[in-house]
Amino acid sequence: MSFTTISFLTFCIVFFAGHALLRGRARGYWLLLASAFFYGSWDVRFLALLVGSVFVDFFVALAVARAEGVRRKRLLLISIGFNLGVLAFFKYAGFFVASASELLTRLGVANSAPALEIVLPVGISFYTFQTLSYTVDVYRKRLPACRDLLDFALYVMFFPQLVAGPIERAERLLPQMRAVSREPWRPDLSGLALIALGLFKKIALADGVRAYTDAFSAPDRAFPAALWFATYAFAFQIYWDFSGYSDVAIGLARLLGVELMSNFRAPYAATGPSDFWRRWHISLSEWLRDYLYIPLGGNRGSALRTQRNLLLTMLLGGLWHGAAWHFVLWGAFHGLLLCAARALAERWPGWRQLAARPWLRPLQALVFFHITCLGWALFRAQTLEACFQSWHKLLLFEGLQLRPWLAHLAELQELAPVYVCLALFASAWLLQYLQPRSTKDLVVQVWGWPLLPRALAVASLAYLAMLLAPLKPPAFIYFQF
Amino acid sequence: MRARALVALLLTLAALAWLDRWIGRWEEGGPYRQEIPRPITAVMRAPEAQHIVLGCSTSNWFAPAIAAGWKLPGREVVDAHMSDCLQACTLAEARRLQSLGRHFRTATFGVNTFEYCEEYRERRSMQEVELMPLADTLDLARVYLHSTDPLRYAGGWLMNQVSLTYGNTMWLQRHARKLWFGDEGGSSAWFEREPGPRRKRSNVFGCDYSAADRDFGLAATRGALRAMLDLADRVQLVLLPDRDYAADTEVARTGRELFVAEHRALVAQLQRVELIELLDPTLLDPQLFRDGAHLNSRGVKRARAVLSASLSELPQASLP
Repeated sequence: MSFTTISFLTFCIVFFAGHALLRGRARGYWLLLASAFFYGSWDVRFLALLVGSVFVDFFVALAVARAEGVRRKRLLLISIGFNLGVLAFFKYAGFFVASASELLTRLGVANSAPALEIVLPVGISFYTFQTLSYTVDVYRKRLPACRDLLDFALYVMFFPQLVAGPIERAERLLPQMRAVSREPWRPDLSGLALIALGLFKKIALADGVRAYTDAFSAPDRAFPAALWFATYAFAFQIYWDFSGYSDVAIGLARLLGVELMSNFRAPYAATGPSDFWRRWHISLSEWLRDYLYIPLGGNRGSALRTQRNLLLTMLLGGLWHGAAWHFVLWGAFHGLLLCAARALAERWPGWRQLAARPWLRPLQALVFFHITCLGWALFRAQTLEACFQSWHKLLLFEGLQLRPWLAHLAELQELAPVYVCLALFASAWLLQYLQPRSTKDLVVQVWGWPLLPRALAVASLAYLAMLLAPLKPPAFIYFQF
Repeated sequence: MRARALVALLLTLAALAWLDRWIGRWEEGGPYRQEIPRPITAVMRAPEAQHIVLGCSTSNWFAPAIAAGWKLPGREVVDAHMSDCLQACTLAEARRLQSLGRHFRTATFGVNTFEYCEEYRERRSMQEVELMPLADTLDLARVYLHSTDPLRYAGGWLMNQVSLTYGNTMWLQRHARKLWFGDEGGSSAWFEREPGPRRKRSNVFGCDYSAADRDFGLAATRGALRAMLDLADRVQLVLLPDRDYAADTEVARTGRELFVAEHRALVAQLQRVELIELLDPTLLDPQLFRDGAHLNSRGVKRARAVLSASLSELPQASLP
């Protein structure tokens, strides 16, 4: 039951009606029931896995809080082992078996590895990371263990952010979940504006340009200019898709009186790789920083060790997105960018002053946006062969071939939509550059407008989303992770 | 403050819904909505009609065959079929005609396996909501409960009550999207230097007649037949062939047998309903179809002859 479906609308009407009628713990149980129904609507079998994860982490964290010394560490390892084990089995088992089999075949060792067809439970990467961070925080004594199973279950299963984040920390979300069943309901109606904007981004924009990313299905046959166009299309599709989802999630949570963290802050206005990761999928990059990069040593050791930590973190970050080599390649690409930027700043101290000059900022942002696009080509290409074919064309080894492509489009009478899309991409980039803030902050500004223009803006966005909806709306891209 | 914000938002949405209804009345912008009253108008303009044809485009050739089979003047048979009007829509249409005070000697309605493919469409939801008298909505709800996603149908009903953009502007959606973003069909011609291998066309209007689909489809057919029994003295359910099950293969034979057996069982539960099995060997030829569900001109010619012959063997008088 995706946010863009009419079933979800019906679900919300029933849910909010019940939420308004109930009080106290009954309201908390209602939210939990709704969350279980929401998750079970994908595949009821995976609900057991989610509930299992709730029980294991709840009781292990309680035990960790009581234990001392080695026992404490052992208990933590049980939680980590369970969470990563589930993730490894459902998400990576097939990938590792297939990759090992292929490697053996290439080495000339005959083998017949079983083809594992394991169905990936939706949102597993998101809720696994969320529960994992809770147990680690309890172990680090940053957080007391939650003693109420209902509060903890709500923290893990809260439906607005259950399947694709933002990956929240217990110290932020748990107190808010506790308030759901203990304090009066104070909905923040600016959530409606976020929902309308999120749906517009996803339905009207992301799904609108989706067809243009098809060039990655056959990069060998594509015009290089067409492939660049497809790369821009994918860069904005994935941004509108995922940030649209995040806006709806944050908006829904606001209607429940819960504040979720921002997941995006104008990422294409970033001037370098570190800046990009402070703006793109913020909840994941902060998670990777706190639970992987820093425990690996962070930047505390030698320069070489820091580079290793950066690369390893990004490689695993890439693999987190999906069990495929092109995601690993995408992670490696970003890891290398981070390493290069760090080396540049260390070797050439004047770089920071130069980069800080205001006149250079737009150029930096534009150049880095194109570098990010090269990364998106790896993300979208789906096979290693397609990755290499795409890069070969994108790096202009065959020239841009702009005129032949435009002539080809004119012949097909497809020029107008391409120009419309290009204008859309340029405006979207410019908007991000001029307003480098999160949608949450922008919506706060819009919500301060006088009543009528505000209502007109929100309702028009919802209306436009409906008008431009595709006949068969595709799922959110990040649902597959 | 919160209430004011909500009221302003609701008023704006109401204004947009009004705009939307205005678009719906405009012939160019809302053709799907425009076509809904047409069969109703056709029926109301035919006071002498004693026989009515309902259903979707797969039944669009019935009227002349009925007139020929029973040797009736054309004005006695009214064709009230509507494009894309499947069983749930037929149920709604029959209830609407009944509420307008019409009654017939016979009501004829055809189904093939395509009508059993549960595919939710905004346009169909709009037809059902627009045609169904509000007092009979529970009839629709009973059918929706058999669907794979009742929430979706309930939401569709609600959305069409609030705003016709939802169902009506599927036409507008197609055109606005095409204008903004180009063809949605996934054609690869825009980026290819040399055209690659052609993608295989999907089986348009094909259906595998799976168990989940059948549950919803049979509930809808049952509902439609019941509504038609209130509309006419006698109801005829015509089992139509389709391309997949017209083939001379084991799978097609098994599918046909299941299709016939389930409808025989359904009709056996209802009085005053006749089953006309139009699965004559002369019609079981995939060459007689223009797509998965619709007969081509040669097929229609042959099917008309078979239906007329079948009807001529049946009495014209009302069934006891």
